[in-house]
Amino acid sequence: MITKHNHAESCNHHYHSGHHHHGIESHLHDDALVCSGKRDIIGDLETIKQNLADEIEILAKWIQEMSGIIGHVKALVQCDSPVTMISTTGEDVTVKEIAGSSIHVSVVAIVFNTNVQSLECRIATLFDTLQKQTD
Amino acid sequence: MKILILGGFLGSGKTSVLLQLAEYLDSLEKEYHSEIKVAIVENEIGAIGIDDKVLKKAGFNVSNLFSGCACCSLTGELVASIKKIQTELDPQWLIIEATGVAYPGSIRKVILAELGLDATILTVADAKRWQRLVNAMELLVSGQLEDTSIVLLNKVDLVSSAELKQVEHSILNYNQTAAIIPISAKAVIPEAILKKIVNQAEALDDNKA
Repeated sequence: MITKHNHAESCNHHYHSGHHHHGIESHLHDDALVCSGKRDIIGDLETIKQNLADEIEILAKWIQEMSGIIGHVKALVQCDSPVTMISTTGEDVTVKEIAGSSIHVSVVAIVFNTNVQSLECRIATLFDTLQKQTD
Repeated sequence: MKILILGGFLGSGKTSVLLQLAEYLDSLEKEYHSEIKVAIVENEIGAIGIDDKVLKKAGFNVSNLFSGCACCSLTGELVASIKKIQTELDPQWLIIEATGVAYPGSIRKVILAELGLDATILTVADAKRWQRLVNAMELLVSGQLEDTSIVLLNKVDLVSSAELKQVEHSILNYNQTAAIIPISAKAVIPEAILKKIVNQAEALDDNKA
């Protein structure tokens, strides 16, 4: 899903076109700001898990520094690996292991007293950082 | 089908409690006409579910209600979901995990009014953050205690005994009748506590009969 907004001055992530964030969705529920995002990243599972934990800690500090109140920030890491392709054209059956792991990363932040545009930018930057760390 | 509503503020530890409670209920040997002992309705206000994946991975039957709250914007979906579960699975226990901003008492009222089914409310409170949350959003956190039979006061390992007393006192200001049980859900919840929850729900069921 793509959401439209005016970019905050501090928004310096790269995974957007114009004023759109790819894969980030936000809405307000009473006073709670709910911001969800997901991205598929190719890389090592253990490295991504560690880097994500570090990034979540940085995000939490940022929310608090902005005088926001954290309801919760949760992330989920799912891995498709190993991927095996089995094929035949009628003769032998070929079994092929596909190298590289596609890791699905989801992040949900439910916070109070936080600016929606800034939070979206911050979460988009989190995904960018994760991606860069695996490049 | 006995219904438990699990409420409490965001980050209070509802899903950690739910995992242990569902496993305990699943382990109980009781005569029942359906093979399904536990079904779960997972309500999240976010568009992306996280907890439902954790619960499904643990092997439970989970129905999702996303992008809204079962106590207000998704009441119709909640009722439809419960009807479907009752018809297709008819579990011995249905646990509804409310969102962290829901009022469990409102969910109970909806189920009672629409389906004629009563439910026991169990609310998880975060001992470490309680006072901070009361200061910032008293209406919500105190409202979540309404109609609650049991308050599981979680994360007591992170507070001193003096702080724990203050939190208990504060909770009693909002609900004088609920049993307050200190726990640390990151560790194993003692069986006696899980049994107490079950007894409370069964007592409600007996009263209906």
